[in-house]
Amino acid sequence: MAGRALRPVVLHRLLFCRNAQLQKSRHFLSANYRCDETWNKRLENPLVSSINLGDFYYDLNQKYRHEGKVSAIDVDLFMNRIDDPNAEGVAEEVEELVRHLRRSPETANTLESTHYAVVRALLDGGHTSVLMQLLTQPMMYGLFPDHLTCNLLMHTFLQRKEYTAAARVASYLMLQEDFGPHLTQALALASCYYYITSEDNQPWEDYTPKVEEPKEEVKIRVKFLRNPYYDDHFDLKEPDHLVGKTLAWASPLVGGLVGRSCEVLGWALYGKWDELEAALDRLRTGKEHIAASVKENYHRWEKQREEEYQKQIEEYRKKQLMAKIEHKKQDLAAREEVIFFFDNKNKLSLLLSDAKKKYYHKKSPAYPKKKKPRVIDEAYIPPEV
Amino acid sequence: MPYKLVGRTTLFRGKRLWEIIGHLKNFGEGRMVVRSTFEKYPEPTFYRIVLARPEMDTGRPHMDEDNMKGEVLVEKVFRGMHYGVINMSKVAYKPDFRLVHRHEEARYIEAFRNHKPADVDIVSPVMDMPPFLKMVAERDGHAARELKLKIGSKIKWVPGGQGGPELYEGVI
Repeated sequence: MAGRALRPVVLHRLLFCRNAQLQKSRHFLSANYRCDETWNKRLENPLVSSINLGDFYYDLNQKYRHEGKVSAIDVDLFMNRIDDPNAEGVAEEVEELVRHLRRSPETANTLESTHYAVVRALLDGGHTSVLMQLLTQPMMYGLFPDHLTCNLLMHTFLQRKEYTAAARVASYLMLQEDFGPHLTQALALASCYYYITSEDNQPWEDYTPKVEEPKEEVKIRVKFLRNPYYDDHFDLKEPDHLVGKTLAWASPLVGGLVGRSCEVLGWALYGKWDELEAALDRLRTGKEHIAASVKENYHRWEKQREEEYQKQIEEYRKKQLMAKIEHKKQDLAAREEVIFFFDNKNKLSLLLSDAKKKYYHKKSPAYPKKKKPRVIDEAYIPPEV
Repeated sequence: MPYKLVGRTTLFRGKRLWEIIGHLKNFGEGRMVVRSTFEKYPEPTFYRIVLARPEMDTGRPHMDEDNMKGEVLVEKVFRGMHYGVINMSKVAYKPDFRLVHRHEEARYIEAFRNHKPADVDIVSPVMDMPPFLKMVAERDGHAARELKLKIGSKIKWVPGGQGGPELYEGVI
């Protein structure tokens, strides 16, 4: 492992420190995301409502015994007819029918609504373990909820604080390599995060069927042996690995600082140290990037300030210079006038106004008569005689 | 291990195609798979699943014979050449397949787009007769002086030449 890998102590602290600021039962989705009314309207359909659950189940069992298969539409009708998920034996019946359908060639005709109906029935009935069993064994049960259903599942589990189930739904999304729209991505990230940071989770059960093996060695002749192969995707069993891989794959989609940090956490859990190094590098350069940009800003502002200051000084100096020059000009003009007085006497005399100011006696205020002084046309030059 | 399987070994490394498809939604429509035995070729080789209908069969117990049958149509690219959509049902049972993750698909597609097929060598369909046979033919009055070749798997074209008239220089 490279030197930059997280030491066990640090990793432990990272993984298990309880964040005291975690808010309890945040509502990620609104209450009418479930669309309960629309969902309940399915019972009004005559196809669905005309079924009696008990009889129908019996008929399907008979059909399976005689013909060895169940048809997809029958299973779909049964699932949609379930109106009381809390009834006894619902979970077992659902599981059995789904298994019969999946292990027959009829599975290609499975309707989309079957997945949704099964999920709703088990979720509303609180049969979380059965739901997880169906979700985590696609070869046996073939339950593939779409993004909306996954949103609903994760939201419900997070609200009920069943973080293991929420994390398993998120890992299902990762295995399908389809995290969907931003909401689903965010919910997956949240589920994994809550699973990791909460102390007492429900156990991560392994639902693969246990094969009873005889005590003595039994040799079986097969045509060809298979070489051992671990594909590191569908064969993942450890909860840490699954959740880690989910985090590592979902975080880049969410992005930002949260994304980068969760990515590091994910790779560490999963145990892939090369990718962890790369993610740490990205995190560091990301931080450096921020610090660098802030520094850049400061530099830029300082420079701007300097420039402005210099400009101000220049202007002030210019103004002063102009004032000085004006002053000097005036000075020079005055001196010129004085020096060249006798040369310009004639011109200057023209400039003088000939009219003398006439002072009239002040009339008594009783009879105020305003007399204006005579207006003289200054442009008039008396003819030279 | 209490159950010991005895049988012939293979060079396959992977999973059966149905085992991969069974884990994916919509039976893996649109996903890319690769065969490990074809990864030895430098040219890109991959399959894209178009349609899959597994039979979800169960064989004899403990003999690893489950999930061998079904119908699958794939788009085949083999050694850089695109073969279109083919029916791969007969080969899907082989435990040789590997799923290509979505972020790795681009690499294969790029290789396929950039792949330039090698130049085609055109071989002449006729060849000179060996000199003794030629003499016999002339003596017997046959008009033909050249042998027509049936180019197929039996004739290997080795680049760089493998023989020719120079071989018979100065023989007779």
